[in-house]
Amino acid sequence: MKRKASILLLALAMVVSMAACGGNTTSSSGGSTSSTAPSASTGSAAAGTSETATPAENDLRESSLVTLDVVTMASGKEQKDIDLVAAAMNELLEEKFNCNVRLTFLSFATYAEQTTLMLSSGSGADILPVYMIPLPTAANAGQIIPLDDLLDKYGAGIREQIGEYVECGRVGDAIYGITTGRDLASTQGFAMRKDLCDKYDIDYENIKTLDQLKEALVKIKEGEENVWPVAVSAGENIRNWGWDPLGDDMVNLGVLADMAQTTEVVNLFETQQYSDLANTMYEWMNEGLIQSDAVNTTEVSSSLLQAGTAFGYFTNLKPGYAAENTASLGIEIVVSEMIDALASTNNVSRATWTISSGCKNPDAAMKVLNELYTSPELGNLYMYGIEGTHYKVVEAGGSSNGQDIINYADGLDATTSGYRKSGTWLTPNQFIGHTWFGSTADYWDVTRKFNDDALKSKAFGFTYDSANVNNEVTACTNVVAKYHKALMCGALNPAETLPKFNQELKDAGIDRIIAEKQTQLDAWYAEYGA
Amino acid sequence: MTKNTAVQPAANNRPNKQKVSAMRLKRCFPLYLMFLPGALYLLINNYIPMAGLIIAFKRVNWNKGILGSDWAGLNNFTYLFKTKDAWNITRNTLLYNLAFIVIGTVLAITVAILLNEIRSTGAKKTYQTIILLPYLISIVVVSYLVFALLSSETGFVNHTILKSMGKEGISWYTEPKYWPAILIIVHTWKTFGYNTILYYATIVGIDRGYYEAAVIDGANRWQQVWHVTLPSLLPTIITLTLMSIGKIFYSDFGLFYQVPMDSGPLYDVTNTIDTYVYRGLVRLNDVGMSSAAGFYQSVVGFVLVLLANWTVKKVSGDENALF
Amino acid sequence: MVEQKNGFQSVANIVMILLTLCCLFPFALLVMSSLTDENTLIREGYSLLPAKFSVESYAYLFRNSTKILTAYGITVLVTLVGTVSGLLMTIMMAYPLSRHDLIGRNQLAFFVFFTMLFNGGLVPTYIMYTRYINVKNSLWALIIPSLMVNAFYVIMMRTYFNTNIPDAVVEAARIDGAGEFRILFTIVIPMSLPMVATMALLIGLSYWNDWKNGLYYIQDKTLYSIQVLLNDMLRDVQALRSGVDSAAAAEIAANMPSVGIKMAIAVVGVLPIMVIYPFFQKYFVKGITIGAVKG
Repeated sequence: MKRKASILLLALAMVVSMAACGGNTTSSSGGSTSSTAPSASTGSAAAGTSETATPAENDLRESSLVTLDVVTMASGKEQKDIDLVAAAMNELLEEKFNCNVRLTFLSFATYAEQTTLMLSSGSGADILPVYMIPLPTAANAGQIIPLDDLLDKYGAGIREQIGEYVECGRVGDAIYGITTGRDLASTQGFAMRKDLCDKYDIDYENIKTLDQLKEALVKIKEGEENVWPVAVSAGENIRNWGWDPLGDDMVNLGVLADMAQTTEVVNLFETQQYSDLANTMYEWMNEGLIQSDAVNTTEVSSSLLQAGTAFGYFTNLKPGYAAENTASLGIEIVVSEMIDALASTNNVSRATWTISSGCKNPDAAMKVLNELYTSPELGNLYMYGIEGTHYKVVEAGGSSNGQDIINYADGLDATTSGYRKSGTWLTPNQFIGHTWFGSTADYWDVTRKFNDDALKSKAFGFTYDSANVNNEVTACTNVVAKYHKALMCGALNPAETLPKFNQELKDAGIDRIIAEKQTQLDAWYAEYGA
Repeated sequence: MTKNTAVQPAANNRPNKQKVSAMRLKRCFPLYLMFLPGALYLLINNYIPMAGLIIAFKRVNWNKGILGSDWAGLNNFTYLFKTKDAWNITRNTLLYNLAFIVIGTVLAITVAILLNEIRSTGAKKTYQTIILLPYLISIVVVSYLVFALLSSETGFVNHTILKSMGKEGISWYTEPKYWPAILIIVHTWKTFGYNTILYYATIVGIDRGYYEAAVIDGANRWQQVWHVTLPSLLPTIITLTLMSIGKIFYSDFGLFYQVPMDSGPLYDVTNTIDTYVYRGLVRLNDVGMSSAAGFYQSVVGFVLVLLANWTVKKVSGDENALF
Repeated sequence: MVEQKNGFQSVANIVMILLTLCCLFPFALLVMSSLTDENTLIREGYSLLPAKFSVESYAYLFRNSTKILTAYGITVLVTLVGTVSGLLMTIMMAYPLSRHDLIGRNQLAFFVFFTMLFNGGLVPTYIMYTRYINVKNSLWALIIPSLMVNAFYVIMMRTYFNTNIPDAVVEAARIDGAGEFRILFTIVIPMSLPMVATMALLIGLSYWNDWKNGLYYIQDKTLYSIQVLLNDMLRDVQALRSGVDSAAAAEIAANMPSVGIKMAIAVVGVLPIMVIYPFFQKYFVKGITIGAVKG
């Protein structure tokens, strides 16, 4: 037994020594935002080049070549072609900033794991979108650095492009993430097959309420024996119906209800709106209007539409949704908009570009980021690859933003292209780039306008930090996962389930979460609100 | 046992002790050399990263480094104990593992004995090959197989079996009452082949002489099993069980998360420590809290193994203990 | 007496046949669903005798065959190199532990065993492998972290040496002037073929089925092994569940393989093992020896 103890001691000794060296290395690579840090870390050329005078036009060039790891999510980009595209981007970047980039594209399936590991270990990523993990946690854990100073110095272009939406990347007193140029508000509604709408004379454009939608669904139910009126994607029927989830879009622990026009944080699951919604879905399920294995299906609703076994599905809508999905599914899709566009921080900060604290050269990183947000040439390369190799111009200058309308190069399609159009919505700024064939020519300008016109939540710009109530969040998340999706699918009887659900939430501490959210929101509102 | 025989001569013969040790040490040198690469590997791959367990007691800020981060005391652990769910997940984890250990062991031993009784070598080989097949496929694929069987819409059970019997389909993925049985069956299905082979290998190694002696004493087949086979299997049973006890606070994530398709209504019977931690933390991204869970699982497993090993030593003697 | 024995034989056989059918049935369902027409599958469900056959799933895999063949190549290479090195390392740890005259053998055995009970967790291991031993995005990342995939294999092997290699053999060789390494490689290993083969199968299996290292350390898709590829496709659903937004959901939906294709990939992933396994099987039973950590 003594010897066992000594082995334990040995292990313990190693623990301590390891912790010491781990601490050192991590802290030395920590994010320093001062502009003097960078050159020291890279190579011997530093001294030589820095003495050449620094006139205004050379101001942005790094004194020695800096290589940055740029990570994002996309599937279907082959390594060989990634290198090609990176080389083309480097030509531009080297001339302007003396910077190079290494591009990494992660798949959907691995994104959360790999980025978490990269951020924790401080290696492998300098610039990346924080996505699928919450921005406040990454910021508070010191995984990413505050950007305010860098934005002031090099990010004028970003502020111009993104406008007031930049505020949504604020955690506490600093901005940590910059949202991407995409649809930033969301409209809720129902997407469905046009052929069946025509057949049963469904006036989809004027469906505004669930009752009206139900009339249409019943027609389908009665007319088509083998078609589910409502299909469900991977167990999720309705994610949002016009509330601001204040940072918890999947679990909704404390929300601003009813289009978020007050600052009173409430428990969504106790609202009349939620109970009505759950009851409606339960009724629909019992009447056979919703796919019966909704809760545990592993399929995506659109694949049921393609197979001809479903009519439509609830979804987040955005401008051009119908056209885009018609093109990708190969069947004509139309939509009914049922809840008006609402802009909440949540939509915006769900995917934001950040600079990791492992980045040795934050100045260069911000310069490159700013360029990605503002230079169409660089942005197009990053999003769509090389003209002629990966895409061809269908109509030069045909897009209302002055860019071209493009499509896959001759002989290529989505499966054969070495640099597929994929994940572009997560790249910094689509608004300045080409428009893909099939979308309307003014697609990007319409989307921009959609963002500007959307109704803003009272808490727009407020980011909530769960650190003080992590225990309660963990417990409540498990409770919500147990009931919420199933209720929204109509698989559980709300009369029995809702009281139980809310009791369990109370036991798990939802009131503390709501109180915490309210305190943070009030403090934020006093300083930044209205 | 062997340690005693090795040490005794030296103890009896004090003056020579040092010389003997030095000689032995010299003789051992090439053996240590041989052991070294693996030891270094374990050091780097296993022992040094154990330093990371310190994260469980920290409020980690990667800017300050692991060591520089503020201490969190036991705060990272509280979520594992505070709530009502804590009892539920601990109970589920423990009970499922106990069921797996007991049912798995009994079934594997039974099948191993049966297999041993079968005379046709061809048949024996075929059975051995086939029962190991489920062990070879990944749990992700298993979850698809289960779905193919149990899907309420398209599943084989509802669609083919229950329909042909004229019965209503069952909504398997929303009915918690079936799942303890389903999970035990799936786990047993996947692992019993491997365990059977482990026990069968031991049975094959039993000296035929014991059986012959038993037959001479007039033992029937059942008595042979009871008095010869099972006692010979005891060390294997103890070793494998002790190892399972070390993992008793862990659960196969795939089995409890993917196989039930993460279906909410089933949580009461499918939520284990691992799935609870995953569900709660995947959105929080809190390394401290997930490390705390891992630390808790390891420590409890370790203590239980020590206890169980000690019990085995007390009850059935030193030779059956794991260490 | 003979009749009674035959009666027992048939009962034993019947039980075993039922068990093997239980094991085989899901596989049959797997194979048949990979051969079912996609729309038939969605409409009429899983069946052993589908109304409409289709080899479309396999045709799809064949069209993407470069990707799959590369992945196969990676898997085979990694499995071979990993198995040989892992095996060597295991043997070289097990043999000294099996020697009764080794000073500190029980402590060393515990040093090995302890790694089964405690681990530092993913993040520290990841930091180790990416910052100190730079294996990220290389084949080493698929090999090195799993070399000692299960420390208990060392104990199993040590027990085998203890019970199957008489001390006298080793002693005789040493008197003949053979060194320890020579004794191990020319005498002990050849005498332990069943164990070595069994270990090769177990270690090989863990390499073949490993997808975690790929998930953590590999970003370059040309280095995807077959299981990583499979896992990547199957996990998209999970990404959907964990809440991606509409743009991502639409893209996942557009790229997500159909049920048939998933099943076909599963078949393709498991087939080689099923082909190779019977060749190892004769050693399997002879090789396994379970024993305590102390020797």
